[in-house]
Amino acid sequence: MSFAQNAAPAIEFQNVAKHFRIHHEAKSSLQDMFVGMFRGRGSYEEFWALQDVSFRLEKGQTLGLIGTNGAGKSTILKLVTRIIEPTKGRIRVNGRVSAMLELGTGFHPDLSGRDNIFLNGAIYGFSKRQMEERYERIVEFSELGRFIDTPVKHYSSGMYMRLGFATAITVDPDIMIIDEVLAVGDAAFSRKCYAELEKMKEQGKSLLFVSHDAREVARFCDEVIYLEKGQIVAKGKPQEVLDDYMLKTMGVPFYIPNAVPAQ
Amino acid sequence: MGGAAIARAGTLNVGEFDTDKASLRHRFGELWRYRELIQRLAVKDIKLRYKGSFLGFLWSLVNPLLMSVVFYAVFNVILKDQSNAACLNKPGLCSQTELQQARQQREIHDHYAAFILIGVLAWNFTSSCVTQGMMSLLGNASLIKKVYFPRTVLPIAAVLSLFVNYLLALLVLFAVILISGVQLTGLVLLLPLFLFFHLLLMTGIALFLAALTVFFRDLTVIMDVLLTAWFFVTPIFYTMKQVYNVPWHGIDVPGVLYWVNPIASFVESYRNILFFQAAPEFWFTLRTCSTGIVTFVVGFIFFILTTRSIGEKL
Repeated sequence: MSFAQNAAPAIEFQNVAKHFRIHHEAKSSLQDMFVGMFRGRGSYEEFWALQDVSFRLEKGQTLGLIGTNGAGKSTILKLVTRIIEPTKGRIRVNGRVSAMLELGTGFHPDLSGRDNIFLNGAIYGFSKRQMEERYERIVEFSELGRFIDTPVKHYSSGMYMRLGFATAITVDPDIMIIDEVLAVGDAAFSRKCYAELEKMKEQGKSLLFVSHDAREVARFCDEVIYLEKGQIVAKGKPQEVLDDYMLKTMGVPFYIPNAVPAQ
Repeated sequence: MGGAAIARAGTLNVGEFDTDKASLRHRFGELWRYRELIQRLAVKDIKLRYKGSFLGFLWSLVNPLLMSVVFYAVFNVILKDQSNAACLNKPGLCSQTELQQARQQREIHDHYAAFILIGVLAWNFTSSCVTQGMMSLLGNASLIKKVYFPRTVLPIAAVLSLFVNYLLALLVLFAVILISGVQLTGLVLLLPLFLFFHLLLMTGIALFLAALTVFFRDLTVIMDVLLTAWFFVTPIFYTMKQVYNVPWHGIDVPGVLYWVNPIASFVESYRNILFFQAAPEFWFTLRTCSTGIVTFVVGFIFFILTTRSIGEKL
């Protein structure tokens, strides 16, 4: 097992940095605009969203990312999902990535649930045949039943989310990215989602977990990275890192009321 | 288990993604693996285009049909025959070229609906590819910011869905051609060739404009004007033979028009094989088709090179 882990990590960041320019849109006069056309887009601020970030997510492990707003968590997720590209450093991802950043992202309101399932599958690179194999399971998990042929714009937000979650997990990702989406939805569905994530862990999938909820992080993660201003300030076992994080942000150490969560 | 099976099926995101390995060749291969997505997106566009309308996709057929009725009415009822009747009646009175021109003019007048529909449909395809291809990235910003897939599929799918529309409209065109009494010959078999390279040309243009529009949004407004100009330098209501072929201040006008406007070559080619039954010249055809290939390659490379940071720019 340890050999397989050393062979190829699910995700590897090597000295990754990401630089953004935040443009100030104000262009007061026509003259400014003309000058702007030749000099680029007006004034801007330099901003390093990530600096020298290196970490590995081993296969079958769950890595948690914590940090206050603007610490760089989302930037890391966007880099892993290839929505943005790093300014410096190297990123390697080994396996299919599925992200639950915002459920039901690729859904088109005018298309039916069925059409959206297939469109979404194609976005993740699946063939029609592969999606047909998964179709029944998605419909079943989403509990949509006869509404599957209704345009999704008529869905309630709960239905929309269920379809989104069902589609996201059934694309059989090797690496799953979860970004605070499980807080929404009713308790029963939330429990079902967590059960599904537990199952994925058992199947040896790798999870990248982002949450503000320290208890969730402690419950799920094998390792936790604490980010601040685009840099890693602590990395290690959940208890220690969470202690550090809670002390810095809230002034109290991390405490789990019932350390072993009820199954 | 299931995961391993998928990995072998060769779908994307499986295997190594490495920021150090993102070559042009890689991107091209990736596009092929995402062909399913291109097809799905194109079908989605087609499904949604006439959504909520009573006739649905039949509009792709009804629209050109109605247009040809309008053209027929205008040119057969309102406008006079412009051909040189005297010359046609007494061929001895005028030169050979004048006679030829008069004959062609008469032929155009007699089958005006077919003549003009060929040009109009080719132009509709062209201009819709420009406007919709140009918006294909901006219009899908929410998707681009959430999921990775090769961005090239967006303009390509937009153009493909419009191409399907064009093909449907061509069915109507054939009906109009037959009704108006134009005799088709074996030259019709060349049609797929021109259609294919026209498609390639438009894909290249759509890729180029889609990428450029993200960084230079004023283009959407500028393009409105440019399209109008483009329309008038394309032989839709006229043929290139009717354009002054006497050099104007030393400039060969038809030559320049052909040179700056690849669509002119395509419209002329469509007309030659569908209307005038004239075999297209070899070198002219080769040049027309190469324009398609070159534009596609240039558009694709431009797109890849400029859209690396698109996730931040949208």
